[in-house]
Amino acid sequence: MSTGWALAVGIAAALIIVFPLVWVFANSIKPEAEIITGHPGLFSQTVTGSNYAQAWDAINFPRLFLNTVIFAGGVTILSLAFDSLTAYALARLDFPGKNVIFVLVLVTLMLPFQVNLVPLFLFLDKLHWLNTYQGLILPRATNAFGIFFLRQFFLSIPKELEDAARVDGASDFRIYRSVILRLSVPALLTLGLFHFMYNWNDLLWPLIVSSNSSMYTLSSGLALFLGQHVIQYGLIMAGSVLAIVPMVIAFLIIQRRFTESIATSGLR
Amino acid sequence: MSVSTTRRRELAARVSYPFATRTRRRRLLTAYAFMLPSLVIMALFMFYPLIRAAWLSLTNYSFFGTSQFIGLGNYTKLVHDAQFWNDLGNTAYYAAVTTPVSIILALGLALLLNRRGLPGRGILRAAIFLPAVVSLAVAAIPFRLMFTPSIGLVTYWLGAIGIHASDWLNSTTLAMPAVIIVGIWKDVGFYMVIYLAGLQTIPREFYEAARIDGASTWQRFRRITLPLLNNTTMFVTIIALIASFQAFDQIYVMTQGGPAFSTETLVMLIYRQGFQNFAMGYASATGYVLVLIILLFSLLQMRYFNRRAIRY
Amino acid sequence: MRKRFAGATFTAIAALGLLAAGCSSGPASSGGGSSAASGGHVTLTYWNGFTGPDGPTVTALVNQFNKSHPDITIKMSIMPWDVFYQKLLPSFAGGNAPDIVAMDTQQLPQYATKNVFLPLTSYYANAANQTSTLVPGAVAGTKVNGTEYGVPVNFAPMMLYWNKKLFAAAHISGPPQNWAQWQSDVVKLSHGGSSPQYGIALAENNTIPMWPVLLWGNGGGITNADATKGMLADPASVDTVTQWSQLVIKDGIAPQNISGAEADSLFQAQKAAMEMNGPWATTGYKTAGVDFGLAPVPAGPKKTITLADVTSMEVNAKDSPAQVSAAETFFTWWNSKSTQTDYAVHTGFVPTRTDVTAADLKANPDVAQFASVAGTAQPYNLGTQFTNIETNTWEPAIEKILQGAPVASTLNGANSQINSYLGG
Repeated sequence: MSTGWALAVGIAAALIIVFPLVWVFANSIKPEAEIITGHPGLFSQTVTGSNYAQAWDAINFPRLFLNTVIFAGGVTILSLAFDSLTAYALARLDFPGKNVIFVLVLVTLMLPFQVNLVPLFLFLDKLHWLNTYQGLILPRATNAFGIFFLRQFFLSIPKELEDAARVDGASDFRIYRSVILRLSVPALLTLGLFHFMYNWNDLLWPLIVSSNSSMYTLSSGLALFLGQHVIQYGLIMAGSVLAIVPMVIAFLIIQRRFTESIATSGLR
Repeated sequence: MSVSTTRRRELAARVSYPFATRTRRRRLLTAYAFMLPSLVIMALFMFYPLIRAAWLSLTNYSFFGTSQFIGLGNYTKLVHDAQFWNDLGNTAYYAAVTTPVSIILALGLALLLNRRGLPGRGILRAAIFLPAVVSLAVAAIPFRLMFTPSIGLVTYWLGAIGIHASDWLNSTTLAMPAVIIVGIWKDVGFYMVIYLAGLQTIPREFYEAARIDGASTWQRFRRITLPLLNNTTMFVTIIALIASFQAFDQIYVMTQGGPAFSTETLVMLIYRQGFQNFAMGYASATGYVLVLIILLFSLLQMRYFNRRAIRY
Repeated sequence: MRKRFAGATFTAIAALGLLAAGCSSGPASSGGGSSAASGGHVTLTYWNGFTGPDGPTVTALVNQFNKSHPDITIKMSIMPWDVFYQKLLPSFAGGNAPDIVAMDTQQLPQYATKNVFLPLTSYYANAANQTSTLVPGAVAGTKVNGTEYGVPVNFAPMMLYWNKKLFAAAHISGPPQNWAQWQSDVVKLSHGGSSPQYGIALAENNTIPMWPVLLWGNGGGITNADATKGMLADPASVDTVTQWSQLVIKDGIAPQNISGAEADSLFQAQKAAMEMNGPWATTGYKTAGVDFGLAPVPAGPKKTITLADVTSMEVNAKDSPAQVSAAETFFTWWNSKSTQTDYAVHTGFVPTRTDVTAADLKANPDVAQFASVAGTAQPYNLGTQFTNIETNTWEPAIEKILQGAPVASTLNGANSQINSYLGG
């Protein structure tokens, strides 16, 4: 496929995929009344920032932003550390019970959250961890997705480098730190982004753990615009854009580092 | 040499036996030292709910009052529950379409965007990845609006060019495709990024060598790319399948399982049984049936991919 | 060797899990909520789902209460309704449920019969609480098996919104007064084509009850008044559904299967000429520039009746006497004339009291109109089997009928299912 064609397909795909979000953005700058009309158009004549102003105030954006950063950031850092350690053991160390543990780890992914929810909620209550940061972050500080992802990645790393280090007498931990982690920067960045993003957007978990709205995260705060009878569309659209923007910026930054690290990884 | 190599190995093994045990035990301890933080957290916050849920599924727990052990009573009730089979069918339908389509599209886009020299790669990648950045429960609201008759943008534009798009979300046949589209939309970019990470690990020298040998694009794809992506593909297919079996957010927002339960999936059934009918024991049993189904498929997939694994 | 280790590993992990399980499966702690009465100060936790535009008003009022009652603090948590129910259930099980809870009266029977809420008979009997000034329809909603379990938080009768511009375009002078006019009007106001218009936005899922009001008007219903028997197979019910479903299917007076939110969107986009809705919608429609009028729901052949949507608040049965007393103080304050007037003017809900006059409400004239139909408003009560009847039986049945299924047999089947839920 020539580059021209590839570009055309790429652009078409990107436009189709991005369209709903463009629509959300377009609606966020429309006056509320024009969002639901008989003649929907993409952009309207009147552009207004009132939805943003209202959303900012209504959900105390700075506070929720901070909460979200603490939550998503905390989970991401802990998760990268713990997941990579476990993944290394599962990928590279040979020990009895390895496959059993791997399957068990996967099984935690398979139980639907609705079933997990009640025992977990009761347990956190017993620990008096409801409405606390540790209750919010620690249960998420490791997860099967990350372990699985990194395990697959570590399996693809050629063993020669490790063998060389082992012959030189390095301990497992040393190998993990110096060899594996250095080679896995793209994977770690990707996983870090995923963790950050997933927890940034998590609506239900913060609502379950905290009853105190000052502890809510951005996505949870957005849910408060969904009234029982009245849905405040303009506010939801504006709030969603406000919630997405930091993530997009994060992605664009990571993406650049991602490509750089590939160039310098020197796999061969 | 009078002693054969095998025999020599046996002798060596016997002589070094104490050393081997120590090494094995040390390896075991090292392994557990690595896994300790994860395992502790998982034990407390994931395995415990898992086990507790398993226990609940054997009782008639309903939040209030005392609950009694009823053995497999919930499970036998499940087998005779027409709603369960309806939802199982819907879940299978959803998974059978969403998983392969998302994965194939993701791989295609990843290959496309991995080309050297493609202008604007970063922006295209960001654009396609964008849906993954949005919270699905919130994104489903605009989708619901878009698919709504008479005021939906999609139906309006299609109507303007003469296509009468009937009410997607209110039709028992079209509602499921609508939620499937949203599910694919959300995850394609995500899987694409994972594939991109995997593609980056394939050394370019392989392709150059193959090109020199005269291999066509398709042959390069089949013989180099696909096999070397095996680990990534295994990951993506297992994750995608698990995710599709657990579809909830956009269906809850867009159709609430309707119309007439045509889009209700097993996870929605669990939610209904547990939180609307208070039958948490029964809901846990349904949850476990789902776990077993997913586990079965995942094990099959793992076996399939492990056989094809390329290990260094 | 390998197997043994594998087994040992699994056992260790499982043991950790079971240990955690054992630690946390102790008996539920006594005493509801996280409140304490220390030196006379009582803190009460209050959970509700007043998201959306009502939230800020409720928050402001609760803050006002806290300021004016220094020895009581109400800590309110607002969350979306589905999260609310997901947390409420395990919190009752775990013994840490909130002290005050607000919920739709449709959900109340399921909880009240589990004895988690304190019956408020003595509260109502106490003349100092002025409960005789409360709207009877609102109080009726809080009764389960004849006992009051809560006090009304808000009261919303349903009226007919009609689009004046579309009516004028169809040469109809005013809103319909009875079914004959109503049915002829909806047909006149509907047309298909590439840009369809509907006579009425009639929703049947995830909505405040619209079809049931039609059933009531003709003397039918989904169940009888105290939800002990299904009424869907009654000739009056079958007749209603037949009439109106035929209008939908043949004359296209409404889209075939829509949710409450879609119905609202249709009316707001001026694609539907009428809609039965509560007072919360007035602000949105006005902002959208819809020139609408409010009329009582047209009188049915047998009854002039409309829906009363009631939310009530209850107190945790495990609360201490000091907490209950504080909660009752809040209840009385909430339903006091000044608070209710304030609340009504800001949210559009009709005051829960009968002694608030139109003059008091002049800041929000729509409220007065809704208050005028309060007398004919009846709560939608399906008893403890609410979810099973409404979501699992009635909604699928009407959805199928609107897609062409035969009316009598579908309703018969649904009715049998309802009766089986009701234990009949």
